[in-house]
Amino acid sequence: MKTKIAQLRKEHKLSQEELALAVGVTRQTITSLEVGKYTASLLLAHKIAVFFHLTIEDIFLFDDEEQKG
Amino acid sequence: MQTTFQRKSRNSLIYYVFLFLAGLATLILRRKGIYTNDTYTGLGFGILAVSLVRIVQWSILLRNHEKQKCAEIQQTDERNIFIAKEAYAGFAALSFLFQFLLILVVGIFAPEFGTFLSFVLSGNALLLYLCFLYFHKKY
Repeated sequence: MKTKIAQLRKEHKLSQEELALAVGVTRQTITSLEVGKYTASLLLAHKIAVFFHLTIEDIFLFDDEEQKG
Repeated sequence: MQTTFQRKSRNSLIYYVFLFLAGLATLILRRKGIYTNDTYTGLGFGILAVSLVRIVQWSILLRNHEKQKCAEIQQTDERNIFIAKEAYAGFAALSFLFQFLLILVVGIFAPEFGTFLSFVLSGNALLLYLCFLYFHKKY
């Protein structure tokens, strides 16, 4: 699943480590989320959305083709 | 007041102390001749070594707040938990496959042992089914 996490992180001038610490996960999880290898749970997606003061849909890009798969 | 992670860490420490004692018991039983196979010497030393290392690691962790925070994040990280579950699922599937192949091969050279292995495989399959039922009910 594609996300805007990398873009938002850079806009806020945060490292992956800082974002990981803020939402309570490891740096590797943030890396995997940014490259789309791992899909966040609803709880983690909510934590990231709250952190950036956005909605989940603003950050996580749902693809119709992915949903069918 | 202890956090949940501190309590879990203390329980892990106690678990490894019991494992250490189990390793020691294995070696004592081997020395007394109750276990006659040298495999049990290796098993006993292996369990002793692993449990001792883990006891030292957990003891250091319980005294160091920074290390505790890092360990807590590593253990509660949802991706790490997901990877562990996927690994266990893969292990279960491959384990069944290898056991079945082993039964087919062993059955040619030692049919009685093949029969014994097939009972072991059946027991594993039953255990998997019971686990499935348990989690199906729980969730």
